[in-house]
Amino acid sequence: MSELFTFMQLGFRHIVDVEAMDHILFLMVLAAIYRLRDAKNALWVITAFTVGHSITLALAVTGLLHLSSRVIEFLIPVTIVLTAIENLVVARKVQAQSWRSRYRPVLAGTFGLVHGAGFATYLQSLFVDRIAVPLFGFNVGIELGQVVVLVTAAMVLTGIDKLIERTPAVARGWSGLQLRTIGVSLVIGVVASVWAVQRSPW
Amino acid sequence: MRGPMVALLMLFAAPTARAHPMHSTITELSEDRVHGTVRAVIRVFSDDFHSVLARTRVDPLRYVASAFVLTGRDGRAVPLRSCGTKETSGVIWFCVEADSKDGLAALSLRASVLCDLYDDQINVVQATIGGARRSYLFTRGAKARSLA
Repeated sequence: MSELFTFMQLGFRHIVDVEAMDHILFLMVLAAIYRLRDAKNALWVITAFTVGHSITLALAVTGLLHLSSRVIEFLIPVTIVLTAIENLVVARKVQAQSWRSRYRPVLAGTFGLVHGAGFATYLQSLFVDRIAVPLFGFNVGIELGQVVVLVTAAMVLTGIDKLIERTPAVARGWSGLQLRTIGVSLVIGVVASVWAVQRSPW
Repeated sequence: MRGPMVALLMLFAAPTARAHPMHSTITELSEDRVHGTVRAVIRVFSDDFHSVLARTRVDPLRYVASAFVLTGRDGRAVPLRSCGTKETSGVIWFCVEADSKDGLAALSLRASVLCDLYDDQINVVQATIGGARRSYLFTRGAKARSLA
């Protein structure tokens, strides 16, 4: 097996793992405002997230960046909470058309920097020589894993939409997408808040 | 209503009080055809390694020999000997050597280091065999693979 494919598998398995729940929930909360027809926009956002975490991962693994793992572990759920809050603000204020606004990839890319630092604390100890191919393969694997998570999230969110369509709130002028965004963001935001408290370095 | 409640409870119960852990070992496998030896340098996270040693109550070499098994053409495990250990930044570098006059191509490998500790443990092995670079990935329950 080639080195590239081996590390692609490592990255893929790393992301589609129950232990990766913080990253999965971050992807879920990022995807919460999109419908199936917005898949292209969602993919841009997830790619921006990958670019962000690739940057810090590369900087940390090559020894150019040293970060406190305790602070990073705390910041990861904070990014989830902030994204959930942003979803709630968007859901209340903005019309559906504006939900695709272009700042979202920037937000995802910035938060990706934090998540990449989370990977880096583990990988910088293991990737010691000939890091280019392993690092590239690992990142490609993560991106593929994220696409799988995103597709699964889309199916789950579509299921939630079908449940919401039957609720009386839809008849009162709320769109199904607004209700779904609020519901998913609230649940994930609360869970991530608990994790942030548990991981607090202070 | 029960479904969403169960999902919520599962989320809270998810093992994420600590950040997403990396359950991986990376091994560099090389051969010295002149002296007829092969060498593996296994990099493991030290906290995981100490946990498994505390659980299995065996010395490090015996544990590694049971979880990193090189087998000859006759189907017998090749005896491993330690060629040193060092610990840096939370990672233990565990070096083992074995005799193999025909190099790595004559051997098979089963790597299951720390697989008895984590279900999702992955052992990545990077080998240089006859000057060519190859990679192997072992998950829990993976069978031995020929290095030829």
